[in-house]
Amino acid sequence: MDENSPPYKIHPHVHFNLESLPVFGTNERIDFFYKYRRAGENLYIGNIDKKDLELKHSKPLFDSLERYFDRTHYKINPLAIVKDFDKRLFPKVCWLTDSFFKIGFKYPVCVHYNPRIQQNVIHPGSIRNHVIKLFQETTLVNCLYFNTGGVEFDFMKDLKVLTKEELLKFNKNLEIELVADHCSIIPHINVGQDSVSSNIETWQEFIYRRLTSPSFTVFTNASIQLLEPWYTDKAQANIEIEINDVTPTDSEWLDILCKCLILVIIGKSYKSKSLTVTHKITFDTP
Amino acid sequence: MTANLNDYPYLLPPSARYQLQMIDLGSNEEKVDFFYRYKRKTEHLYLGVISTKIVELEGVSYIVKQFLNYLQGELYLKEANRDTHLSVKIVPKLCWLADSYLTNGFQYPMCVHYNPRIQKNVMHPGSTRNHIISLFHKNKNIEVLYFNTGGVTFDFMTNFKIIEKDQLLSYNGLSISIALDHCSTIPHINLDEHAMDTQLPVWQNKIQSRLLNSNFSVYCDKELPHFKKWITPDENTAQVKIYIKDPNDKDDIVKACIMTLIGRPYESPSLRVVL
Repeated sequence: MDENSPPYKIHPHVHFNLESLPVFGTNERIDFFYKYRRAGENLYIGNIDKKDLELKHSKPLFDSLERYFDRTHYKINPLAIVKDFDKRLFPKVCWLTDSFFKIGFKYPVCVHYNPRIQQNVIHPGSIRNHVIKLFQETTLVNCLYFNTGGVEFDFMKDLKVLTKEELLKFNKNLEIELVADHCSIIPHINVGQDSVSSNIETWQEFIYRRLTSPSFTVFTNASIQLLEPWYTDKAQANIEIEINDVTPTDSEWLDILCKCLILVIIGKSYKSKSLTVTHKITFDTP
Repeated sequence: MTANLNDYPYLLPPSARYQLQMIDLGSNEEKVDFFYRYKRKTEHLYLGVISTKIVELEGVSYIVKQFLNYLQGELYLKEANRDTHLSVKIVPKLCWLADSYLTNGFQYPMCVHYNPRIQKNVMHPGSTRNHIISLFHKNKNIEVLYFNTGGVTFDFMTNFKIIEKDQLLSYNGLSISIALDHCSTIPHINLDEHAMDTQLPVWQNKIQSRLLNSNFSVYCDKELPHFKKWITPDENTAQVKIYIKDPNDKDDIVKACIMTLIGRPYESPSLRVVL
């Protein structure tokens, strides 16, 4: 059956993933989750090794960043991009990366086991997923983990079960959505979601100021097309990018490009085996 | 991370199932209430008539082997009920449903829902009736209780009627379970569930009596290993005579087995069963 041929019709609003159950109110959702979860299923808290998580490829992130720079989305009024999931991605990833370098992740990321792809996926938290992949050098990630279907992993022995009472008291800014899938009710938990809009607005404004400032000048030893408008010679550049890996794979190259675009905005000097970014002047981020 | 279900450190306990695992609810009323409360706004349970062409039908290859196993392994000697292993109960169940269908047609609407993962309309529950359709009712219309997962719309739904909560509860013999999948609460309804408790032992006994009767013998014009134990070369004295055009045609093998066991004559261009 072809999705696009009659008599088949899927409305634009018909989603078969990421569509929450119509249960309203945080306490009501927590009640519902604990009442109807399956035997053997629990919500856990603890550290999970990065190797046990599915960390996303940087291609979708780079594609969005490319559109942001190519179409000069940094010139758009901050209020106009807050609800636009594509345009707001760059300010959001800059905000979360800056925050990550300053204080680490404030809250655990929400992870569940997806039996269809047999991976532990971060949901919600696609941007933090990228930050972890690109910048986290340590191996352990603090997680809220849901073992869909009662699956058991070795790493779960170091996790602690979070009871209903503990989850209710966990954080006043906790948001939870419930997704019915794989014959389970999968909790999607986000803490601190209330600050997202204001931070995106702040960072959109900050990025605009950075990219339109005469002091935003870049020298790089390899071609980074998206930064070409700000190229200058090494002596005059306030940001120096040195790419040390001469033969990166396509995937590694996308990681490097994403890192560069984020680091030049947040003013973070950075050194890894493949990349060195040096900021000659320092400034405060929001 | 490992992608193999059986590799350490991954452990999938027997209880961890990701399909056909129903949510643990209480009575029918609670299940019906849960369904109507948590379904999406554009999702409905409908009653209507559809062509079996648009329902995913399972092939009968698996059933051919089950019949062979049942007859050669003498599984007709065992007790058959709801909790019996599938290899024992599938034959009496098929015979019961085939006999019922050939006598009265389908007496209850079947439960069908849209499965977005395979983009098909699937019959759940009703895998055995699915075989009856494949064998005897292909390309014909059936009455269904249909659930449009996610709010999907098909042209064939135009004449469907929405079943409201009270109407669903008023069905005699209602058995309902809810599966959480595709971000929806998918109802699995059977209006004939209770009959299994009486019909499975009845049909197992009927088959057993038939096969243990010393007069039972089968003539087949081609080699059919299923009835090897009862085969006679004497066409005139055989209690059942099977004339099969292609002994590799799985549909006809299963039909021949069913008709022989339920004791009904059958005739089609490719198969004739004479009693």
